[in-house]
Amino acid sequence: MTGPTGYTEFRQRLYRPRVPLLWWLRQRSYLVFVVRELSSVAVGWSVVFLLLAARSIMRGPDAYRQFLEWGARPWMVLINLIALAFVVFHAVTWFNLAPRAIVVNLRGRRLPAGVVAGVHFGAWVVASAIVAWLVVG
Amino acid sequence: MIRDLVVEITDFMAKLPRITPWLVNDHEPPPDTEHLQTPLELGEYKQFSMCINCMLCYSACPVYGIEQDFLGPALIALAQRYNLDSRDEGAHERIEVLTAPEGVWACTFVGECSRACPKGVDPAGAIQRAKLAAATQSLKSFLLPWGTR
Repeated sequence: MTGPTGYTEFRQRLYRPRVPLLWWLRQRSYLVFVVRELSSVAVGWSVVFLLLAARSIMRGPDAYRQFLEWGARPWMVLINLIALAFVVFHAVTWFNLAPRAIVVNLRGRRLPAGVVAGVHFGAWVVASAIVAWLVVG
Repeated sequence: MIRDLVVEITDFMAKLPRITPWLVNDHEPPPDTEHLQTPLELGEYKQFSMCINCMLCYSACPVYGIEQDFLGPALIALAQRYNLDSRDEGAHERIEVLTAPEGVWACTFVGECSRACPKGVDPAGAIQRAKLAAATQSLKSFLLPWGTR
């Protein structure tokens, strides 16, 4: 280990390459990672928008109508379309990574990564269908 | 990597003992017997035992470049190698180190460590599995505080 001077107990200075501020632009994989992290902001916005919708419903028909008018403004539609794109990107990249964390052994065999990811995507489709049915149907 | 075949390993070696990189087993079998494992038990950890300490994963990891205290991909993969070994009983000792701020939670899953690994060890996968194990352990101890560790 090093002390505050960066030297080891053997008076050997450790080599620690400096990480540039724009390290995430050096490689495509780093950029994809940073975009995935940033897409969490869009996920957060989607939750806030949903909570605002729920609050307007609780406050009665007038408040709900006002919320719908606010949500139908062009700039709000644009924000939500951008947010949707980021949320889909976030979900797809995250579900693709899920098999790396979840290892399932069935009857002495490891479940293929495609199956683990497929279960996630399947659950996503089912949940979306239920929500669509509740809203539209 | 400093130069070809010159690898900075000092920090790795200094942190190495913290993850208890050996088999912890208080119930050793008698000396004249072997501790047999099934192919499935071997397969659980074999991938993580293939590390050759080349430090390429440390070079590829931006978190390690920024956070000097981070244990790093290879060390956590090594901890998982022992945690997943059916002969080992030291997972509860290692979890303290792995769940410390400089442990698994510092990893943001860039995944470049696994792409850089020449032996297909997948340290990023090991870290995510350790995170899941730690979260499951925390949930269990919260829901069943009287249960065993």
